[in-house]
Amino acid sequence: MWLDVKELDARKADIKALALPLLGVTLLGVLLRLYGISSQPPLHDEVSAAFSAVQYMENGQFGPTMWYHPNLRNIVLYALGEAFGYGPYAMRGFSLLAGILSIPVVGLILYALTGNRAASVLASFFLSIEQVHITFSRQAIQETWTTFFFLLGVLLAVLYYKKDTPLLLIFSGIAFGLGISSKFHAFFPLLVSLGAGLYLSFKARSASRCVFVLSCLVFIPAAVYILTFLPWFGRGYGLIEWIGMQKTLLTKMMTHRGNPMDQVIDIRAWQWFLRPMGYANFTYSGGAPHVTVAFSSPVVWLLVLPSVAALTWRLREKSREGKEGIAFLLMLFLVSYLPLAASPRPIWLLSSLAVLPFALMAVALEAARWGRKALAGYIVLALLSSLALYPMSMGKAKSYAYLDGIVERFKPPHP
Amino acid sequence: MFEVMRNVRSSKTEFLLSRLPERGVLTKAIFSAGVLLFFSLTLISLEAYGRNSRASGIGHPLDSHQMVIASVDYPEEAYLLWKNTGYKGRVVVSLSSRLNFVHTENNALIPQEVSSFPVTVHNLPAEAEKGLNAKNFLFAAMKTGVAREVISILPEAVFREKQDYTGAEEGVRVLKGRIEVPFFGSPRTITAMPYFKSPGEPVLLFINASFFRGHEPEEVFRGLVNTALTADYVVLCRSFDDPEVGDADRERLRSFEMLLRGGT
Repeated sequence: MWLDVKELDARKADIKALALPLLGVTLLGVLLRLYGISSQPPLHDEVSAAFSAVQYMENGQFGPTMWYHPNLRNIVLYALGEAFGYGPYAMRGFSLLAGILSIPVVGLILYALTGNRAASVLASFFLSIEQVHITFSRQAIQETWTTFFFLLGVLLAVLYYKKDTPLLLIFSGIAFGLGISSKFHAFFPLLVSLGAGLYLSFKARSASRCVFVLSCLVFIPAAVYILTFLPWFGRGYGLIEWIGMQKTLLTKMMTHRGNPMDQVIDIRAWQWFLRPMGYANFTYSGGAPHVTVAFSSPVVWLLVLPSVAALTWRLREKSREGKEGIAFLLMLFLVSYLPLAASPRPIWLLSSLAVLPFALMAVALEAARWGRKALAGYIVLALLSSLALYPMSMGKAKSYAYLDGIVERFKPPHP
Repeated sequence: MFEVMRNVRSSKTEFLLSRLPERGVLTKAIFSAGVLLFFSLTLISLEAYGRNSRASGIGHPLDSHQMVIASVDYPEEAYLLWKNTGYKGRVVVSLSSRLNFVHTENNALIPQEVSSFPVTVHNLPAEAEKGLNAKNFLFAAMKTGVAREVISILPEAVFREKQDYTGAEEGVRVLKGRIEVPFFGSPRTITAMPYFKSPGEPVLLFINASFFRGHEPEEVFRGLVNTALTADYVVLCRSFDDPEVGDADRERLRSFEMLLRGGT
């Protein structure tokens, strides 16, 4: 439910009451993301990302790894690497920060949309213990960055729609710009937030609001995005060539079939919420293999589609509280998920972070309706399943026999 | 605790923007104008920055006989000449029977296994330059930023063969008269003389003797002049690296040089 600004002001005490549990689940998330981070050996993706950062910043050229993705990762990794050395904290620092900050932001979005404090804390809790999110928070690639920036963009846009404070939407546009400069997945929540803004402006019959929404959610993200190509322009290119290059990137993204060493299982996004899936990386350190697997916890993921269906069903109720907020959340989920689910090219599980926060919000909203005992039991179950999968986030999947079944699934085929 | 939290609900059900009295119409108008101005300035600045990042000489039509012309024995010397002259961000047009674009560095230089931090990172273009040779000099030019675009004009027979053998690779487009093979987002085109179109700016022109196995000097010269191609620097390569290039090809190259210099 969308909260009135007066109501928000009047309920500062209530928000304070939200802050404490959010802080608690965030601290839990900090612990899970930072534990053993410096002893986790670098993955090939991370090493390649460092090489790509240097090449981009010093020569303006994309690649060699993930060259079709936008370039914020190159800029930030290079800045941190050159300032502090390419150590674990410099390289993984931004992923960790983005991963950790995403935890309270998820709760704040849901609270702003529904006013449901229990569900908001639950959503943050789910993200805090989410094994896929933990895994990529511990890697020097852009997955958690994208998620954080589009979540921040959504939160600021929603707050603007409540408070009508222009600066909020300007910062929302910057956040979305940084999101699409990390990975194009941020485009989908941007599209929904823009659509909501235009819808509200038309509803209020306000041309100035409409123009302002367009300025902030079209031109600011576009300006931020194009500015991250500054080193590329330094190679002598002009705007026409930039447009041609964007077509090349888009073509590559639409048709990318993976690299020879990429895993060939668990590559269909439409299956994400129907069965447990994973994304694995292998590396050697100290003569021993280290296997990192991002693996979806069935305890939470299998509830996503039923929760979305239940929320959609209940939208029919005329007296449904927070109807528009929930409709907005469902749009965020569907618009972010359906293009990936329908894609004919392989979509690996790391892309699920583009959808997961909205999926977790839906589960949280439904779980918050359960009885106290059922909810407590579910929370314990979710936590236990996450802890059971946790060693795989740290590259220690091979150290625990009970995880062998999962690790074997991702064993690369021998030539 | 959860019971208490569940009870905290709001009664409002609408997006409030549509219900709030609008405030700051002027502020929004100013912000909107500021954003549009910022966006426009960003585009203009990037265009200017890109163009100003190019380092080139003065372009001349090929029949003006005013270009700087250099002759080399090996293809990679062309790269060194461009580099040492300070060229940057250029369109390179190569006429040769070979593509000279063999990738050399990524897999060899990025370690497959790094056991611990900190990661030692090399500058890949600088490393590519160390392995400079006849097969990769255009690749090195693209990597180091001497070239921002490479257009390879092949003898027609060689081009047709490439067209036939170019499969449905990711990102590769086989079109009528040209194959587009972008290199990590940088434009790269393979074509043949009848299909070549001048890029509309002065180019670095590289002509290998191997090209004259399929073409006569006069024909090549007229063909290039007719496209209105302009260049500021031409490198003619006798290509002693290539066993398939014979004295007759080198003699044709010499004749081509005479045409460029205005002799007969």
